[in-house]
Amino acid sequence: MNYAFHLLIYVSVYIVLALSLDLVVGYLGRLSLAHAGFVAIGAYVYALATLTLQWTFVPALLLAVAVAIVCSLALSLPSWRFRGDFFIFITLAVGALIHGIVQNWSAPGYEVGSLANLTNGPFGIAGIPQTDIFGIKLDTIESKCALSLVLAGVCASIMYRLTHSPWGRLLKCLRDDELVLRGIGKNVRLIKLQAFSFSCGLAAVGGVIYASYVSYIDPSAASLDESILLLCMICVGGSGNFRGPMVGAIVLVLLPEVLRFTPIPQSVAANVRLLVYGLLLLVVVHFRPQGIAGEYRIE
Amino acid sequence: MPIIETMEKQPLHTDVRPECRLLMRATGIAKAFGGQPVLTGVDLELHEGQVVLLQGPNGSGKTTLLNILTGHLVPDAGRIDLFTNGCREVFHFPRHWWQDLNPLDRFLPERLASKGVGRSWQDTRLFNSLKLLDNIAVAKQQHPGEKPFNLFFHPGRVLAMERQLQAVCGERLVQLGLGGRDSSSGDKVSLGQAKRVAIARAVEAGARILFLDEPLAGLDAPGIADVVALLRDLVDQHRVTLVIIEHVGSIVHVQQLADTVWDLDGGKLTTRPNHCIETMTKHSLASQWRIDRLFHEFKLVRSEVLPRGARLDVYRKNGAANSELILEVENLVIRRNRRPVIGWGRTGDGAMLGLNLTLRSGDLAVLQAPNGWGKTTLMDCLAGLLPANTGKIKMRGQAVTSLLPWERSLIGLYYLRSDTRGFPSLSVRNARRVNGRRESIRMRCSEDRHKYGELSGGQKRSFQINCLGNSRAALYILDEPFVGLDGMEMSSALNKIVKLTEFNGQCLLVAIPHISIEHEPC
Amino acid sequence: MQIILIGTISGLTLAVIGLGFSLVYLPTRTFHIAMAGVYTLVPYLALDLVNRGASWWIAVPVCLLAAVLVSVLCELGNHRRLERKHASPGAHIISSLGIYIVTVQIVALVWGNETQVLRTDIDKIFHLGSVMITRAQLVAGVFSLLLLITFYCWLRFSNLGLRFRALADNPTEFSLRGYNVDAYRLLAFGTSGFLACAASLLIAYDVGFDPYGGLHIVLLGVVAVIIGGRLSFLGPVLGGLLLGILRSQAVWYFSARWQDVICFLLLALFLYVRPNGICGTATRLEAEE
Repeated sequence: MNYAFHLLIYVSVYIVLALSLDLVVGYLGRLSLAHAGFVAIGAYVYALATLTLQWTFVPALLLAVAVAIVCSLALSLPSWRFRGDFFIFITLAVGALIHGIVQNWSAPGYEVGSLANLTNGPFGIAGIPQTDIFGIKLDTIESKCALSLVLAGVCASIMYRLTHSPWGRLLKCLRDDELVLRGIGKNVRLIKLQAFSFSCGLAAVGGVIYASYVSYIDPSAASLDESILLLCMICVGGSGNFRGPMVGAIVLVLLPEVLRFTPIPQSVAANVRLLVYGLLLLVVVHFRPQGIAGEYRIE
Repeated sequence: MPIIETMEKQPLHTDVRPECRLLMRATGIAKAFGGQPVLTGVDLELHEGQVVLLQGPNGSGKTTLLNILTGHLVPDAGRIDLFTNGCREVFHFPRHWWQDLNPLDRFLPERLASKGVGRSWQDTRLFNSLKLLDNIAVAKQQHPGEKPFNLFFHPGRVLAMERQLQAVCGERLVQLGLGGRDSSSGDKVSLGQAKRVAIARAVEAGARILFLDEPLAGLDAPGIADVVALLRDLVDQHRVTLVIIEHVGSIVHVQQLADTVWDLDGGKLTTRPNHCIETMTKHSLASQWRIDRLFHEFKLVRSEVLPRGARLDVYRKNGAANSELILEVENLVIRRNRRPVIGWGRTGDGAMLGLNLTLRSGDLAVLQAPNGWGKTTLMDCLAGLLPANTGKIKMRGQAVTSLLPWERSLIGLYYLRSDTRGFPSLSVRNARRVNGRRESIRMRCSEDRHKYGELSGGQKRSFQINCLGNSRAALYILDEPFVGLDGMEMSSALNKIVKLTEFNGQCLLVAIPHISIEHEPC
Repeated sequence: MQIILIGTISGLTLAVIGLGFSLVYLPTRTFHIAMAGVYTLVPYLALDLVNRGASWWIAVPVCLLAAVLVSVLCELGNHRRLERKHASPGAHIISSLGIYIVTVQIVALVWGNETQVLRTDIDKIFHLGSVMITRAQLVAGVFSLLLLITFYCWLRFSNLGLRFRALADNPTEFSLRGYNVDAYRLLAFGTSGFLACAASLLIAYDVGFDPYGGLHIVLLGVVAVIIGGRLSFLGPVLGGLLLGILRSQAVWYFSARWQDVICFLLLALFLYVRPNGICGTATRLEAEE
């Protein structure tokens, strides 16, 4: 039964991440391979805030979101000037940069969270304190599951409100024809800034939920593999609408569970999982560009 | 010798529009592309309620001027004053580098659009993921729903504005004759209707000055009538200032509206009131004359009028014998974005009527059509760059619809495109080697070592015609081959092209812009 | 002086990788991320062959052949199909990413996830004046230089090279003149595979290899291309040399861990000031047509 809660938490985390990435990929029409970096930023900031500053859950969450939004400038500023595959490459570089920073900002002998050893390098930050919301400590898996579901619900409704609104309409126009949108007087740069801010902010929320559940965060959360997984969810599930990313998140989180029942040894399970992701990407691009349930075809 | 025909007649408007508020003034606008000057000091003024016709020969810089005045292009020198919002805004060019650092003070399309300078595009460009209603609704300025803060903290305001907007835009669509179609997307309505929605969108965005880039391109007669009616309505009811660029063939339809004419030629602009009609500019008259002169060697075999104002004339050289069938086109329909570019009307059972064309060796076919008709689309499809939706294309009896462009080229098709980009980084000598066969032909020895990309437009065009003259193909397809050539170059080009028909087994299909003369009755 | 020499050598290998990327990007405008997959595959194949008793004289050509084959398959099976359907650049890049993932995971499944080395002996050290250089670095430098020189001579002086440059300039016009564009694209991908294989073997011989370093190196190669000028064939060399020297300076003055950050900062600077790179014109790439 605990295992079901565990899966539910993972599913809700990835729904948040997939929806937030879809804001940029499906609505704005820009592919981003840096999303995992922002998840990691959220997780690391939360970890440091609770561990070294002894903040409770909500202030730490808000700080994580704020830092992620500021860092989203690394994506929104280039998006003003570059588009298409050039922009994808830049997101690749930004993702690699974030990964490099969290991997390397460490110095042996110094305390974790100090300026010299902010992220503790490849060892990650362990022992993140129990989730503390306004004095209530959440120590059972059921309570943590409830928290993650609530947060996921809040994020999903924020996304829904954003996309089914005049602002969301602007995003679709931007995807269709940016020049014409500028010609009718809309401030396209501001729209891109807002879109990336929301996307990275919500990604940070996902990272916070993850960090508070697992109590440990390490640089692999910012790796390219994670970004590719998120992109896979969007491609396979579909983008440009509400259902698609959720379907993608559910399918790709449950896939490794399905693999458990196949006679594949545990040591290679991770490789097989990634192999399946790669194959899924190829299959989707060639045969079903709109994914399982999406609206916007990546073709 | 060039002739200008002017017919003095009564002024078109009995009530001369009173001198109204000045909205825009530009002085000394200059722009050069890669060393070639396009505009050399343009001065103009726009008053409220004015309707201006901007005309000039191909390549004179009309679109460049349009792009500059709407903020899409930064000029090299000059000054633009805007008075649309009651207060005065000045832009000096060239801009200093520190001015560009200020994020609030940039010369951008959205800045000018928010000050009431709007435009329409030649290829319509509606937002295809949005319904028609939303296309107009999105143009609303200062919508509270476009700020995410309001979405979460003032949802009531957003809802109220949205409801009001839906009602207003629904009414607009009804006025445009599209009531009941508000849920269609942009690609399901006819081109004329789409163009009207696009203009309505620009007006909804608050444009006080509206620049229209060839608003009648690609339209049939009812479409033209609808757009002209909309423009007239904008002028009479809403006092919008219009600047219309229209190609010389379709100018006739908008001439009634205009009270001023801007002639752009040689980089300079002259303003004159629209009293007398100049039916053709010097340049196009010259090209018409030269083409006519050479065709006295040829006999007109058949002439076909095609829908939407095009004409296909097929000539044969006097005494030509061989008549092998080279090109057969059967029921060709080409769509772009689901709208048919080549393909007209519907027969009784709902199928689309396509283009039919046959060319035999020794034929010289001239396709005259206005801008936006689809000449380039047709030729790209014949060459294999675009897929055809329905129809068959056969060359010398062999079906080519599944062949790639290079395969078609190998069986005898030579396609000369209208863009002269060529191979910019190669030297001229190498470009010749890649293009053709024999290296012994020398165009101009001194230029051989220059990069192809550094040649002027006219030189590139002459180079291409030279390569054309030295090739051996069965079917030549030439897309507007004379654009950018001056008088002497044009005769030489024409001679080369005509020479191509001297060898047996060739036929040509040449597209030229619409240059027939339309006379207004006195 | 030592640092500059080491930097130049690593810059030359980066230039080879960047050139491999450019060879596909310029004629086809495809981001050939799958080249990182080829890069990863090659040293494992070489080690396998050597362990089975083959000599280097057999292993290296086999690897080159395999690399060319895999790259050509990318084009035949993937990009050509998408090209026929007029797919967007996004589709090309996602599919290339998919091929990369599949290749790397197959390598990891067959040969394992650990870092390996191609040579087991202590490297010989040469002294050139006051500078010390290992044999592996010398080999890498010399071979990279030879490859680059050969390639540029071919590009500049041969007929095939001329046509290749024409294809890179204007693929549509090239096909209209009767050249088999598909065949030339295969040539582009194949040569790219060849260069990736060479660079991979040289670097693997020097520092070892693992399944996950491929993308990182190719990323650096692409940064070199962008800095040097992505619209020119000469770009990768200029960018590679600049990047290589800067990275080695960074290692000397800061530490090895920050060389990537410095790399990306340099990229950011170039993208802001001179997006078309050293070789390109100083125009600004506005996000509009």
